Parts: sequence; structure tokens; C-alpha cells
Amino acid sequence: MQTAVSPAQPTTAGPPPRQEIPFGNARPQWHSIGRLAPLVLVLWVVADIGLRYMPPETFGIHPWQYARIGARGSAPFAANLALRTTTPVAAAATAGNLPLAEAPVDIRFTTNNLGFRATPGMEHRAPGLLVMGGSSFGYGYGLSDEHTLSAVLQRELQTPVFNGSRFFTDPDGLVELDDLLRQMPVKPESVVFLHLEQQNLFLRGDDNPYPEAEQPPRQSLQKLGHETIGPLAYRSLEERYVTFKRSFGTWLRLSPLRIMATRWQKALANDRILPNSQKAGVTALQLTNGRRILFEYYEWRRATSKRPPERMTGTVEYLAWMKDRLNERGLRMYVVTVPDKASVYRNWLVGRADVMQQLHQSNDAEYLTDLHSALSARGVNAIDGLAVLRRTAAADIADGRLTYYLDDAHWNALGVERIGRAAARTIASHERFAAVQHSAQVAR
Amino acid sequence: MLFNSSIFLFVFLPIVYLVFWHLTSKRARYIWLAGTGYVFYGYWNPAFCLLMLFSTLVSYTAGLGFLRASTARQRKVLLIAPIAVDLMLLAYFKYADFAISILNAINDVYGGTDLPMLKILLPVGISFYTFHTITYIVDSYRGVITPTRNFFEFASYVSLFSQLVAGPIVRFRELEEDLENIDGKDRRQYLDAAWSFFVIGLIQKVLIADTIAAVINPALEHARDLSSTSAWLCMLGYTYQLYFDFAGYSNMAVGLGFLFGMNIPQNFDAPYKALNPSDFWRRWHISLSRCLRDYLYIVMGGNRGSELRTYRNVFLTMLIGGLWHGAAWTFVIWGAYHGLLLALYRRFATVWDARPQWLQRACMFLLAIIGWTMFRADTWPDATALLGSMFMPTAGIDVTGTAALLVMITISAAVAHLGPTTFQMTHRWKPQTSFALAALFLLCVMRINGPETSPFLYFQF
Repeated sequence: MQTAVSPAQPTTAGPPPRQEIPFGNARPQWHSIGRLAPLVLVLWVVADIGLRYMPPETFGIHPWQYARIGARGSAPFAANLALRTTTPVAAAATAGNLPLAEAPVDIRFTTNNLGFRATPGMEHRAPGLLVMGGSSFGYGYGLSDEHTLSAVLQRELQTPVFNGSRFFTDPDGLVELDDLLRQMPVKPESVVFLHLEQQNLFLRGDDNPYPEAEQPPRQSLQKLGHETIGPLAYRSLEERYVTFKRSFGTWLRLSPLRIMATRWQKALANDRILPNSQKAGVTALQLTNGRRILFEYYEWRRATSKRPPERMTGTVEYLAWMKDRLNERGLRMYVVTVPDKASVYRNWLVGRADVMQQLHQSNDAEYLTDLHSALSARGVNAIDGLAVLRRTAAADIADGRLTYYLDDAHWNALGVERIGRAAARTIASHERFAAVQHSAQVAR
Repeated sequence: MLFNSSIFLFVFLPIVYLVFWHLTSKRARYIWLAGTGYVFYGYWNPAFCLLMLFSTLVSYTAGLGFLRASTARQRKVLLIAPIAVDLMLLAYFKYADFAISILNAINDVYGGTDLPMLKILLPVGISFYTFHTITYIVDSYRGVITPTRNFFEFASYVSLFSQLVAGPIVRFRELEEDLENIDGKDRRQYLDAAWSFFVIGLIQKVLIADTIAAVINPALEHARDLSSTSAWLCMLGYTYQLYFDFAGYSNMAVGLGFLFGMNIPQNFDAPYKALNPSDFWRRWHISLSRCLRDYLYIVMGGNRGSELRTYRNVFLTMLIGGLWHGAAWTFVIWGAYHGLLLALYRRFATVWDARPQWLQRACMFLLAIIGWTMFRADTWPDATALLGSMFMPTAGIDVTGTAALLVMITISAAVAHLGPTTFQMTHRWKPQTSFALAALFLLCVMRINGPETSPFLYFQF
């Protein structure tokens, strides 16, 4: 029988006596856990590094991610790469750990000697047109070389088009544009500025008119660097730092073992063995043709939120300012607005009543249409991507094909083709590109 | 930084370990341990390091003061002032918004204006390192320890990464001898034990606790809609999840301590084998219950007064212990619940102890599950809804992944109720066992490199 005692009554008022632990083992054996556990870690690292020497398509690594390793300076990708892979374009399905609705896509991904996405057939030709902005939509996420916007424009306009779009985390303003133009022996004549509905552009003020993507602290640091070690030395140091940080960070993230481990765990979280808690982050709806369509969290949040009025004002001001800056550089500007998937297919979505109410209550369906009008009023040549894609949306759905991937936020080859052709028609009505191809090479 | 993360396993730990054993002088090792502790802590938020540094400086200075103080009054001031500073910091960061919510609730009754919440970010582990410094000050005052003059020795004690953010709450006296002999350690002596503790702890956390969490967390988001069976499965799962998460962390802390020649004390002693509430608190979070006993219960008078006073002391100690866990009514009620259990056990111990041991264990386990229901619930209505579902037949949502949960509960029960604790093992494994542990360790590494890394539950305290 145990005697009742108050909680943990001590026999003395001091701390507990030091415990004697008979665990000491002066000579670990070869089979000891003290040797095996560190060995597991070492073997993991060795295997991980070793597997990276295999082609990235072995592990389904997206080429646009892989190409970030070795990107130098302000270029988005490593130069002179030629990758080919068959990969699903299904970020939403991946995020939600859901089965894919569409087959993987065969993608050729090449980069030119400046580290930008190559436009097939543009080699060694001076560009008449430069595409900038639009991040992943611009550089061609989920698209083979021949299906990017620059490739479509090149085909339609019969003039070389340089794809100057950058990765979504890269700064993408005038500083970067000037840097690119300096590397081109012959400047293009016009710029196609890709503006995504999801992007929030605004001027910071007359004294520091850089867009959201350019970080003011970087400019302060740059000023300090120029004053202390000189512009050339600072630029060289900055380039090395940016290259290292980007490359090493990407290299770390693209671990084959991590990819395989993630896939194994996601296979278990299938709502049969373990719950799939990831599907809560994705909105699954249906189109009127019965096909499932997915929206990632950020997509759905945008689709169901009302934008503040200053958002459009800021974007118009920025684009008008950019047009003037490009004009100063002898470049004409055309803005192509690219809608969100939900904006295009809003009227053909079917889902739970509360979800649909969320969508229709946001009442922001005509944002891009209004933006287009505002830009035109400011003298900016703009191509309304929303109008282009909505025109054929009903017929596309009836035919069972869309202009966006069902399981991803990005446009597909059909979407690029439609908007690219519309843009080409507008540009062609303003431009007369030189019939004789320049013989100067693009690279130094 | 988490122990169950790639950055810790592949970068932080190898570098800290290799450099530590490369250094030979005591001072260099103190500085290295202190510095790496700040790197470890600052990985979450570098600004929090300033808070820890401030707390360290205050306590160190108080210790120096004790060495010079000649009068009782001076010693009293040196006791009260730094503890007040530490507690004020803890109160501000942890309880300010809770206090405001209470005032607003009172305001609502009288029709007053609500005060705005401060939305203060809680620094990780503040409850733990604050206790470390407070125990140092009190032990210095009591004469149990001689305060150290070496700032880096003290700083390395406070910021030692192995127990910094989730315990065990290690008193200076418990590490003093190891710190004094830090330059005379044999690296190989505790290598096997170190990795054995660490690997077992990681298995407990990653393979057992996190797997249970993966099943019950989605279900508990709908706590009020669960069926009776689901409610029981979830709370049984949580009972084991919490134990293996926390005990796993503590085992890893012990293992990491051994890697650097430190003896971190045991923090769990098979609590689900406890025979009664008193026994439970001798086995669960041992370092915290000892601190509550030595620095709160005994100070309040312990059991030296009347029975009624003893009950009061027990109850208040556990109430404060509950509040220490978090600034929410569910924790306060949980603490009060265990205080009541301890008081009742004290009163009716002869009746309880006369029952067969298996019945005592079963009842204590059931009481623990009821307590954990309050502990886990986000709000008191959720807790009552869960308890209602558990004890009254209720139809509702089923748990997805029931089969996996049942497997994990079975394994957990076998280990928790029947298996030895890590401190009862010799950690000298046969080759087959070593390889099995290594294979499970590899599985943990694969899990860690998966889509999500879950933090330790006790980080929120």
C-alpha cells in the first residue's frame, strides 16, 4: 500500500542528486549506433550529391527551376542550356496532393548565351521586339520553346523576338532592362510589356520611381557600394553574391532525395491511409463540361477579393511612366494584359453554393477591361487579353479544351497562341519591322 | 531551428560538434557553446536573442552580486529584483494579450470600450530559459550553488541549444560539474549513448508523434462534430502524441547533451505507468514539476501547515503550472484540474491505494486523457464538446485514416505502458538492434525531407 504524499515531496530542499548514468562506452564498436547514425547522415549526403549528376528529368524536376542554377548577374537562367523533359504542369494538383487531370507535357527548354529563354530561330539575329515582364507567363512556364509568347510573336510578325522575361523572384525594372540592352549589340525597336492581372505595379515616388519588384534598400546599398569601392567593383561583387545565393539556394531545394521522400509521403496521404490535409489549400470546382478545374490558395483569394481602387490607379501610373521611360530609350511599348484563369472562366464554373457566392460577390470581374480602358485613355497601346480569351471561352469549353491548364494557374499553348496573335495584329498595325534581317550577332 | 530538420542534422550539428571537439581550452568551448546557442535560437528570429542576452546579463550580474553581498537585505534585493525583471518580461510577452482579453470581457459586462490587443509575438522558449535564470538566482540566494564569475560559462548554460527552447529545465547545479570539466571530456565516452538517445527520441517524435498528428489534427479541426468513437480515438491519439513528441524531444536533448559531455537529466519516467496523480507528476515533465515543487510549493509552505493549507498550496502550484503552459483558459483549467486531482488523492489516498495496481493505472490513465482533452482544445466550448462526445453516445464525423491511427495507438500503447524508458536501457545494442535503429533513423531522415516539418508541441510554451 502506498503512503499518500504531497506532490513530489523532497527529502531535502536542494536540487535532485546528480544521476549516475552507466552509459559510458569508451570504445564504440563498428556496429554501434554511435557509428551507424552519423554514417546514415553521411551516406544521405553522398547519395544526394551523387544523384544530382543524373539528368534533371529523371526526377521530374521542372527545367525552368533547374535552369536557375548557374544563372549569372541579372539573367534569370544559366546560359546555353538545352533541356528536354516530359513533365506535368499541375502546381495546384501538386499543392493539393490530388490526381492529375491532364497528361504531362513534352517541353523543350533552351536558353541563349545571355541566360534568357531562347526563341527558336532567333539565333544570331538582331531582335526587332523585346518581351519583358510577366514573370513565369513571359518566360514560358509549362510551355515548350516554340509555344512561348515570344515564339508566337516571332512567327506572326516575321521578326526576331527576344524573350527578356525573368523569374518571378527576380527584380524586373529599368535597371535590369538597361543592363540587358547594354548586352545587346543592336537594340530592339519595340517592347511588349506583359502585365499579369495578379501583379501589383506602383511607382514609389518621383525620387525613387522603381516598381514593386525592385527593392529600395538594394539601391541604398548600391549607392554605398559605388561610393566606397567604385561601381565596377561593386557590380562584380553584387553579381557574384546574387549568382551564388540564387544558384546555391536552388541547388539545395532541388534535392533528388527530398523529391523522392516528398513523393513517398504524399502517396501515403491519399485519404485512405493517411488524411490528405493538403487538399484544403486548393479550391476544386467544375466547368460546365464536367471537368475538374483547380485553383491554388492565392489564385482563389484573388478571385474572391475586391481590389482597392488605388490598385488600378497605381498600375496605370506605372505603365504610363514606363512607356515614357522606354520612349526616352528609343523604344515603343505595347502592354499585353494577361488575365487570371478565374477571370476568364468565371461564368462557366460550377461548385458548392457558398463557394460560388464567394466568387460572384467579389464583383471584380471587369478589372482588366477597366484597366484596358484606362491605359488607352493614357495613350498606352494595350491588348486586352481577357477580351481575347473570353470571346472563345464558351466554344473552347464545349470542345473540351481550355486556354489554361486545368491544374495550374498558367496559360497553355492555346492561350498563348490566342493572345499572341491578337497582340501581333495590334503591333503589326503600328510597326514596320525591317524586311532585311540584321546580320549582327546578338551576343558580343 | 528544429532538431527534426535538415539544416540542424546536416549543417548545424556537424559544425558545432566538430569545432567543439577541435577546441581545447575551457574558455573557447564556453564561447563556442554560448555562440552556437544564440545562432540556434536566432534562426527563428534574431531579435529574440537580445531578449535572452538581457535575461542572461541580469542573472549573471545578480550572481556576482551574491558573491559580494554581505547583508541579508542586500541578498534579498538581489533575489527579488532580477526575478521581477524576468517575470515581467515573461508576463509581457506571454500574458499581456491574455490579460487584455480578460479586461475586455469584464468591460463587455459593464458596457465599456474594448482595449486593443497588442498582438505580441511570443519568443520561442521564453518560459524555459526564464526558468533557467530564475532557478540560478534562487539557488544562489539559498547558497545551494556558488555563482560563477565566468560570464561565458553562465551564458553557455543559459543558451545551451540542446535544452534551450523546450527543456528539460536544467538547473545550474545539475550541469555545473560538467561545465567545470568541459575541457577534460572524452569525446568517445558517451558517443553510443548520445546517438542512441537522439535516434530513439527522433523516432518517437517523427515516426510516432507526427504520424498520429497527421491523422488527428484534421479531425480535431471539427472537434464539436466528432462522433464518440472519433473523439476517443483522437484523444487517445493525442495522449500518445503529446507524450512521444515531448519525451522524444527530451531524449534528443539528452543525447545532444551527451555529445558535448553534458548530463542532461531525465524528464519523463514512463508517466502512463503512474499509479496515482502524485506518481504521475513524479514521472511527467519531471524537471518542471521539481521546479514547481522547489520554487513555488515549498516557498508557499508545502505541507508544513494544516491539511487545508496543503491542499491550497497544491492547487495553486498546479494552477500556476497550467498557466505557465500557455495564456489561455484551457491551460488554467487543466492546471486546476490536476491540482484538484492531487488534492483529492492526498485526501483519499488510502482508498485509492487499496485498489489493485492495474485498476489504479487504468484510472490514472483515464484521468490523464480527460486532462489532455482540456489541454488540446482550442477553446473551452471545444473541450466540453469533446468530453461530451467521449462520455455520451454521439453521432458525427469519423476520422480519416482510422486504420493507421489504430496501428500507431497500438504501437504507442505497447511502448508507453510496457516498454522500458530510455534511462532504463543500457544503450549497448546488439548489431541487429543497432541496424534496426539505423534503418528507422533513415526513415526519420526521409520523413524530415518531406513536404512539412512539424515543430515540437512544447515550443508554444
